[in-house]
Amino acid sequence: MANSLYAGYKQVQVGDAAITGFSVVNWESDDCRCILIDSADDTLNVNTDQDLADIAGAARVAVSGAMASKTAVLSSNTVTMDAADVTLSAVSGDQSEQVVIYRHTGTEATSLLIAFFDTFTSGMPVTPNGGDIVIQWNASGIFNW
Amino acid sequence: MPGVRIHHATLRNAVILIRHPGEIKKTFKTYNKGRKPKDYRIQLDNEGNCIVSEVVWKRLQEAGAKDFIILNEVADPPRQTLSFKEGTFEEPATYRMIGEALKEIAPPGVKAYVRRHSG
Repeated sequence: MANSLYAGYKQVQVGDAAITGFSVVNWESDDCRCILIDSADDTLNVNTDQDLADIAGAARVAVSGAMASKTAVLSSNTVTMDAADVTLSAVSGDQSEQVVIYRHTGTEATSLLIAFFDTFTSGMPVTPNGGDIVIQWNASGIFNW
Repeated sequence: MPGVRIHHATLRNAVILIRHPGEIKKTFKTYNKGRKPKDYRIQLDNEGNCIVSEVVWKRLQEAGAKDFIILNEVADPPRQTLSFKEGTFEEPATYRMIGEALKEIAPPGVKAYVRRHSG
């Protein structure tokens, strides 16, 4: 796979009646978080996975707190989402290959999956050493559409 | 225990790929469920050391990586970074463990057969 937005997220954002149970994601004000994924424990699918319950518990190596300083900026007919770099604290699990951004609601079945990343410029796969892992976003933003 | 410092007997400043066979279950209710096989990527420093989590150390043992020993526990492991920033990153020599042996993997742009025949 490649870095991608979840189909369910796109459907929710445009109000597709085919997907129910989720409200539109307000990137700047909603509680969005990152999960570090061990791809050996689950095969993620951006076309069919919709919510956190679709990611096996064993595959979730670490979960961040709420992403900070989130912005959504419209320019040249493109909305770019950005945020402060994310720190996953004291990660002690298995080697990981992917990162997922989701909207945290406190209930897995309503926590919408937003974006999937498996292609980084450096650092992946990451072998946890018990210390912090920092996700450094590109200067041009996290994703756009 | 936050992390363990492990040491490789011979390699320095290199990456070793160690294949873990996974634990795919084939019973009726769990057909093709479980952990899939994957390569563990252990990046050794110039002293042959690497700090890993206890879980990773357990996987290396399961995979039969016998050339490693534990040196000590590390209470405050260094921070690691996953980056989307542009730039050029140096890649150390990479080796794949096959059974008890290590085979060098040709870096990008170098054909393995050229390296073998050039002595």
